[in-house]
Amino acid sequence: MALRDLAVLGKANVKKDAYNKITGEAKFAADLKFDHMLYGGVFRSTVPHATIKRFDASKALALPGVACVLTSKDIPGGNRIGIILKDEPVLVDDKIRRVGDAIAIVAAETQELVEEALELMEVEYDLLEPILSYEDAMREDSAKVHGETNLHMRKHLESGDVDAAFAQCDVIVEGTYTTNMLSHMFIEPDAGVARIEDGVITVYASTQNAHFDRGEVARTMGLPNNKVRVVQVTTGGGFGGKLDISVQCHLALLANATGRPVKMVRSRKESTDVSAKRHPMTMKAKTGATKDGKIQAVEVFMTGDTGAYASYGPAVIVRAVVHCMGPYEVPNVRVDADFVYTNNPMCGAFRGFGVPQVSVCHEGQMNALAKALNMDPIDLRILNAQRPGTVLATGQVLDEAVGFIETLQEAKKKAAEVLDTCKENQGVGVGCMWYGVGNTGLPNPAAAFVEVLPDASVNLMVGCADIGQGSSTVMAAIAAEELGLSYDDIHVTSADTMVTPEGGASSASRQTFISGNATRIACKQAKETLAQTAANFLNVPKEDLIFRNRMVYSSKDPAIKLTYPELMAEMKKWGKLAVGAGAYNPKTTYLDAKTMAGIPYEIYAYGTTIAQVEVDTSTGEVDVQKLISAHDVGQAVDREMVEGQIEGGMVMAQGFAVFEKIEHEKGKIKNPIFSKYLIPTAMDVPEIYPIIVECPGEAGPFGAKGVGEPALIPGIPAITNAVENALGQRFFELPLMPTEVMKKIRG
Amino acid sequence: MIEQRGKGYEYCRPGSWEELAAILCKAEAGVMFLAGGTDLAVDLRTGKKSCAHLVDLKGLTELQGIAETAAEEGKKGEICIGSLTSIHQLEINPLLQEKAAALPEAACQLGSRQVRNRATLGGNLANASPTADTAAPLLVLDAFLELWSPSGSRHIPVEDLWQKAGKTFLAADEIIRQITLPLAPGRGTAFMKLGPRQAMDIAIINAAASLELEDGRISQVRIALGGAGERPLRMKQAEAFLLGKEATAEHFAQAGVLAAQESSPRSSRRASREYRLATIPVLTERVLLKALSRLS
Ligand SMILES: Cc1cc2nc3c(=O)[nH]c(=O)nc-3n(C[C@H](O)[C@H](O)[C@H](O)COP(=O)(O)OP(=O)(O)OC[C@H]3O[C@@H](n4cnc5c(N)ncnc54)[C@H](O)[C@@H]3O)c2cc1C
Repeated sequence: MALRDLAVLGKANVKKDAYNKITGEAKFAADLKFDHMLYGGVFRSTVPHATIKRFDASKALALPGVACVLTSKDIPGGNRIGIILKDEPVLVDDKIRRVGDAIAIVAAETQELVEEALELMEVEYDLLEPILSYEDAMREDSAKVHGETNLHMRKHLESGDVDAAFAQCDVIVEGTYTTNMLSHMFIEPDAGVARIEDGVITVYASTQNAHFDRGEVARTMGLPNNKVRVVQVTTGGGFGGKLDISVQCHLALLANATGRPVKMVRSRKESTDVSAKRHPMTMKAKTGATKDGKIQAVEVFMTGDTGAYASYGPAVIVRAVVHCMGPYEVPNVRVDADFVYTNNPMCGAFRGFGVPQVSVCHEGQMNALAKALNMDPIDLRILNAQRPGTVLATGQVLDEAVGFIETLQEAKKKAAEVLDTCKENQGVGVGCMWYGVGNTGLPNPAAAFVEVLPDASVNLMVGCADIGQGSSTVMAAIAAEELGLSYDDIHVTSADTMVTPEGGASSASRQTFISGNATRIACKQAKETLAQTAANFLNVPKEDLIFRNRMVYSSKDPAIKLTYPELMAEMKKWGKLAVGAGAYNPKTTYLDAKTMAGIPYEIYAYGTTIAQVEVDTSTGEVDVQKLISAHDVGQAVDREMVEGQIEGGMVMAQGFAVFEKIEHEKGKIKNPIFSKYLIPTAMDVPEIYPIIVECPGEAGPFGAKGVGEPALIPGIPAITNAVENALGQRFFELPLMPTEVMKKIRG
Repeated sequence: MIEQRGKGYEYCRPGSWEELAAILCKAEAGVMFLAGGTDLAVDLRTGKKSCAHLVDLKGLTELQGIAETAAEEGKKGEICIGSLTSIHQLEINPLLQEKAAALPEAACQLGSRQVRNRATLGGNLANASPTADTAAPLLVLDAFLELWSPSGSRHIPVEDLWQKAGKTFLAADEIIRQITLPLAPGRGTAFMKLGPRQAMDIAIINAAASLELEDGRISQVRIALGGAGERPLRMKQAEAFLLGKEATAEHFAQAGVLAAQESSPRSSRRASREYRLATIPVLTERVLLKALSRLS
């Protein structure tokens, strides 16, 4: 494909949110203040599974300054929320399913009074058997967390003839891999403010999906969608942890009951205790290949614990199943997956939706296979790599936008340049990934509104929440490119349900692709009117016009031109308005219920990481020294932002591989705070070499794909494989804590 | 003097020793001293600790500072450190870097820059964590403490400060006023810390050593470990073993094995007893080698 000639994209712009954040002017939810504002808090269960025998808030209500205490009986609308399945109560009615379930909410004049009131509330439980593991959950006679069975979801994918293929294989490797429950540790704990004005409840919240929140609040309050306004305020990260409802419904209930603005700011502990976690997963895999290294068959059985509520669990299981053979051509595949409900902390979306977990499995298998075949790990992957025309296990045929092999080649080239010759206990490992952009086999549209104003500045309105990842910057660049204006001409309003159209979630690496396409379509519509006006004025066919760098000119004769301000004056003269509305829904199909055949995603992103580590065999410490990571992003909208995503992703991968684990006992998280849940610090960050590979297709805006989650994924198995290669030992469980590494070394 | 009410306690900040004495004589019980607050403020908020009177020592400005007294006839030189000196001041002090390297080396690995700006040496010692990062260096530097209470002052060797995790032998109305390091010119000292993370991490084990050689043989040696028992400990058997021997890696490794034998670490969330026992010899050997490398 010819290189695109772009005026705005592919360079680096100052992020739209940079100035306000650097000067401290940006207002996070916790910074908001309104007159007569109350503070809110939640009384939560301390047991994992129980019914409530008695709840008494009379002492709290007697405390001067306490405005109200609400329980499930005070909910005017429905009392079930959830992103996919509505299985979580806003306030407990039937029973408690986890430590941290919301039993009652309180509003009071000060935060201190809220805390005092919470201490004065009394509860007595009738305890039920807690279900705390997959095995517990699957026992015939065990207590049930929801309904009749603890099996939350079971999925099966099958293509080809797996058994026959294994019978023909020269080499078979097997392994059972375990990854742990992890916490996002986004820097800003969940917070929000709700207030009522002119019959509309407005919730200002730290969130990744204002439009979803609107629906949940409206249902809880029994109100039409247009009587609820959710405004996403400056948000300090999310990584998937702010897709679920946090404070929104509770705030609306309290504001409604008191008629006053109410604010809630979770403590770090409360935030970690109740926000969704990464699913712990166990994956038993079998991979077969011919003696020259061609993979013939993959079989995987995986189990996952979604905890007390489904959250994004259904999306995680489906995506994990579709991705678990890795970015390879595998003619015969069989995958079975079981996710269960337990009384453990709720698991949901976390950067990658299950793909980070399965990458540990498929890349662990590839490392073992390379060893068994005595093959170079990059050559083995290139031999089996997905490429244009590959038929996936779902039956989908890949188009030309498949840059996987390029990521392998670019990473290898860089490795020759920057990696050291390995000493004893040093090792190099390769990790790869693929990632379907957008939701799996489901419609997931987004829309945008645009208006070019009389002075050629632009208002762009997108539903897409910018939580720091830079979507507003991306949308502005795409709009500027399409309209032929400059990046600074575009003002973006995002994620305000009274102003912007639906954007869907800032998740699944989907916004650059989906909201980006919606933005481009909206701009094209506005451009139609602009082009017609310019064509009339210049007396050339409108098809010949080029919009670029604030000019409109004829492709045949660039001297035939007018400036954007001149064009806007012409528009005014003829009474024309340059407005556009665009919506985009990726071209996917629902997946077959029996075999999961279908088109789960319109496009796929690819990535390869090569890691260099050194292990201190006396202490078990793993020193991650260098990470090279090459990513096919289709088209970099903003190079620096892509590099930033890759660097941040690599650091998170390091945390996943060597530090992080949520420890929980009887459903209770033991390390919900930063001093006990260690994430890498700046001092731990290795040398990172981000590489941008651009293999654009026609699907994304100017060919762009997503990179938010792909940036994390291949780093995890690359580090694990590097440690395996350094020590000549296999590791099947993450994280590689010094204590665990020592156990392995000492045997 | 500033007075305020906090959650469940009365806060005060005496500006002189007289004021401090008056407060302590009047208060019946429940007094706690506040220095940088990096331990205490957290513990008061989470409810792990509570008190009736919070006495902020930061009004006593003379408690801050690092000064050297030069050697005189019959008296060794010393470095005196006020107990409210910040960890960051220890980290950047040229005098300490030159004459007591283990201490600034530990200081620069404590918490983060923000924590080090507030945290104090006295607070790190009085908090009595078995892995307090400044404890092992002070043990190998033969530090002694000047304690003060309304009834007078007294001096103790630093190793007599701690009873067990979180508990000192300080009287209820007693504070650490000053930390004194006797100088020993021919000595090499070092500190090392073992923990999964490179910053902002409490050590699983930390270790300090001090070495002097005479005619190629070890004429003075101190080894101290944090995380090896209920309080920071000197490894006296390992020291005795090394005394008079040549300073070789082999001897240091043997000393490490002895150090593990005289340790009784516990299992905690951070690491098992077994892991600590396995790494004590490693860290002991390495810190001795590092101290040796500082002998020029
Ligand atoms: C994020 C973070 C990271 C940390 N990392 C480390 C680390 O890596 N290594 C480490 O060792 N520690 C670490 N700490 C713990 C803490 O910072 C240190 O122990 C610090 O030196 C305590 O000093 P302070 O002045 O803040 O003490 P405070 O919190 O003010 O006091 C601590 C205790 O000592 C008592 N006290 C204070 N001064 C005196 C005095 N002069 N006389 C008598 N009693 C006194 C107080 O009453 C209290 O009981 C960390 C803490 C935080 C919050």
